[in-house]
Amino acid sequence: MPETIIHTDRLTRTFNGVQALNALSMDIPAHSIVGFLGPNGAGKSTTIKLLLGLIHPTSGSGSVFGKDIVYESREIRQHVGYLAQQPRFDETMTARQTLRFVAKFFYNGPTNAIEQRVAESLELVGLQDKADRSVKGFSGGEMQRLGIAQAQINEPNLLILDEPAAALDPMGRRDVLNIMERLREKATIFYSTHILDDVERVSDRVVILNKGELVAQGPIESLLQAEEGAVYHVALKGDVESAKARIESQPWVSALHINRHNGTTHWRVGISDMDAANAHLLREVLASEGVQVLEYGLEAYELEDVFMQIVQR
Amino acid sequence: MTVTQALRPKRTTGRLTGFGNLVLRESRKWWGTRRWWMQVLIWLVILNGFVVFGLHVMPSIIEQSAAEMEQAAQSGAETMTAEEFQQDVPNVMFGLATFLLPVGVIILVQSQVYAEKRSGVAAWIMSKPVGRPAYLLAKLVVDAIGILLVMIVLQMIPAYILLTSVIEVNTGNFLLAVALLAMTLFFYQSFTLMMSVIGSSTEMVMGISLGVLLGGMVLKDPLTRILNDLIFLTPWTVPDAISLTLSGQPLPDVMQMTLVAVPTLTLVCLGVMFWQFRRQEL
Repeated sequence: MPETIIHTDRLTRTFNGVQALNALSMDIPAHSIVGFLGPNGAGKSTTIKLLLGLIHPTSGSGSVFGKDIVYESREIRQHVGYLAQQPRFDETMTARQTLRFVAKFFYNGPTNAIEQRVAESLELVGLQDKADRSVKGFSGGEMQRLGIAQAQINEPNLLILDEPAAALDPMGRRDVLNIMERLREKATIFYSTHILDDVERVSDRVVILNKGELVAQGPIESLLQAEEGAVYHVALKGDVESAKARIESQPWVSALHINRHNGTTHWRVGISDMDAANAHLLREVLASEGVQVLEYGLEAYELEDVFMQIVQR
Repeated sequence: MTVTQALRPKRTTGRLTGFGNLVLRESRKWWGTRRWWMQVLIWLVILNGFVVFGLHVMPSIIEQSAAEMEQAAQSGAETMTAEEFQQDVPNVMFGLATFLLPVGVIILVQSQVYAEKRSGVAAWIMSKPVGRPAYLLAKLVVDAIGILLVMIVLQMIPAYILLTSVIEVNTGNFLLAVALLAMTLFFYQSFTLMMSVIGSSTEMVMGISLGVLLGGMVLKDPLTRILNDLIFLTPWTVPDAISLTLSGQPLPDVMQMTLVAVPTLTLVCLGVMFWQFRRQEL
């Protein structure tokens, strides 16, 4: 299995003159959980359908497991599990029949082994007691659970989940995240979502799209730090003017915002070189006489802040 | 041995990958639901009901009203004896079958692809290692077998038994007529499945498919005046061919064109269907 599971190169898709996806170039490493973010209409579902060969690119190219998404789509789907945004199944089938049907696309083998695999999958998503009910009567949450069960039944190397927790209540959401964490041992998980708390909880990396264009991708920690560059927060008391002059003169300081409150001065120090800042910032502040440092640390961003900043640019 | 060890991963087998599994799914729709016996019942009532009516009920009505019939004949009206009516039953039954069975086929097939595309079921299936031709071929094959068994074999066997118990029927001609009927149904099945792939609404799929069937019935005569022999390149002249076959008359050369044209049109429909679906987005 290659180290890069998904690779796209200027992948573009236009629908009737409207660009749904514009020159998306991204790389998804193996064994990661990747949150695929973006506002509605950003091009997330289009990207997912392109990766699965359900629609074709207008230009650009892509590969999954090193196989071309246009010409080797069947081979790709052999090792992929997919959950659609609004999962729909054959309504004449029960949950068990649905899973049996899906399993038989992937496996030969004794009937009892297939049945056991089906039973394990039902148990994984907590649908054992509804296994023999027609999916026609399933609620949105039950459909979603069944969708996850059928997506993982072939023990895929890559799970592509389009809004896996969208129709779920908080407990269902928690269960889905737990399932994803369990599956990460075996598979790379690429999932789109609007629920940023979930992304922060389980993802290693994020890819953010806006209006069909890639606006950010990378490990989640670096994204949280790198927006505006990293920012240190320093709370000071005393004569801060000389310290201010020293800090402003440093080449690795990109900005200094000052705020005073109840006799305490608060600095937000924008950093362009993280290593230099880690080594010198506190030392430079303390080198100024008459300054007392009350608080010092790297500002922690919520993913939501970063996401909003990026998509509202 | 664990489950995963016991299970052997399937290999993709080109464009027909997933065909066997899809055939099982489509077969369940026919034979695992009430569809098959409902269809058997409907067509038994309509087709064989007519045969019973034509062979047993109508002749006794004619015989009971012999005096009125004779009077009508004397006044120049066209009348039939009970025997003449019975002799005409196979012809009328096949006439009914070539009109009503295609309507049934169109209703059964129209939603096969279109509804699954609209609901997302087609996209779900195609997200598995499935060849697109396999998806269509499974529907085509299973429906064709279902239609052949339920609408033709299970109707024509009792019809033949009922007919031969009362009148003389040439078995060879009867079988040939059945074959022509099967050819017609397969054409309408293929045409409707193609429309189900191309169409963007149920109304469009049903409207065009029924339009081709009914339009041909209604407009055949005026179109014959315009198209002359080209009309024999359409499926609309198959009922005439069936009628001639049943009566034991040889088909005119021009009508033999129909026997080539209808299978050719069927293949064209299937070609368009596979080609369209291959490039469609789900």
